[in-house]
Amino acid sequence: MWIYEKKLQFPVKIKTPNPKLAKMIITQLGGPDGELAASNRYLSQRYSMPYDKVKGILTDIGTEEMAHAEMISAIVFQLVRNMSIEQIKQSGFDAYFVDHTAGIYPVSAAGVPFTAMYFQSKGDAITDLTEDMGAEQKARTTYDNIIRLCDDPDVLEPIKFLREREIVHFQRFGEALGVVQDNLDSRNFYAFNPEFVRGGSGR
Amino acid sequence: MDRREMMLKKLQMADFAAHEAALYLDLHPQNPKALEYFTQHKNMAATLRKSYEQEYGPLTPASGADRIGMWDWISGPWPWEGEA
Repeated sequence: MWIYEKKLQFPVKIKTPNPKLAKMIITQLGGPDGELAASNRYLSQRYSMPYDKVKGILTDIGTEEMAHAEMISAIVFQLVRNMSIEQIKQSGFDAYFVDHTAGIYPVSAAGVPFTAMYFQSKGDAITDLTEDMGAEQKARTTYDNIIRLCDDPDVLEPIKFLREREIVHFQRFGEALGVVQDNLDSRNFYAFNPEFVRGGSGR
Repeated sequence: MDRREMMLKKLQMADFAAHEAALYLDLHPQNPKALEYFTQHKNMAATLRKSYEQEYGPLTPASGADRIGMWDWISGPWPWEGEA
């Protein structure tokens, strides 16, 4: 079970409204490589994961991703708070505004609503952890692109923190994949799913 | 039901009672009876949590190193496995 802590993982304090930037950053909430997909991916995969170390890391990173979804939501909220109608019209935020006003709703930068199709839970330890490593890199690339498009230091600080977390998570998932490989049965030469085949022999 | 399950069930009951009172208090923050009920069950849960963790290991990563000088947090069984 989970308990909510009334604090962000890293502070978000934005002074200047910027709906144009909000429209891009919201993709890290509801987009294809966003924090909601990340959290749901790891917390779904952990149930059938066979090793304690890997169950632990999926639980703990999946939990951290929930805190990242909160940080992205806080950034978007503060970027659209106090925006003017003129800003809404000029920034291209009008399409989002007409459906959600200044509320937080998980969509991609192109306005596509969040879908579970953004992630997999394959029931194969090797497959899932390989996806997880790719997912962290894709999120890191997205943060790189956001940093290229953003010149507000109030926004850059938390975004840079989130980018660094992708790199750390990639490292941890790489180690987790190592744990799975170390546990493979020597007869399982082609690394068949060690989750489903009892004893991990791959037969 | 073994001793571990009994202790866990008592903790779940105390935690749930405190949580239920918290929901009520969110909308009735001044209610003295609810406040008293919450405090009583929150304290009960704290005592039960402490003794459960001492005997059977951490319930959160924050207490993951409290026992035997190692990272005990990852030790199974995990709650979804139907064993604890």
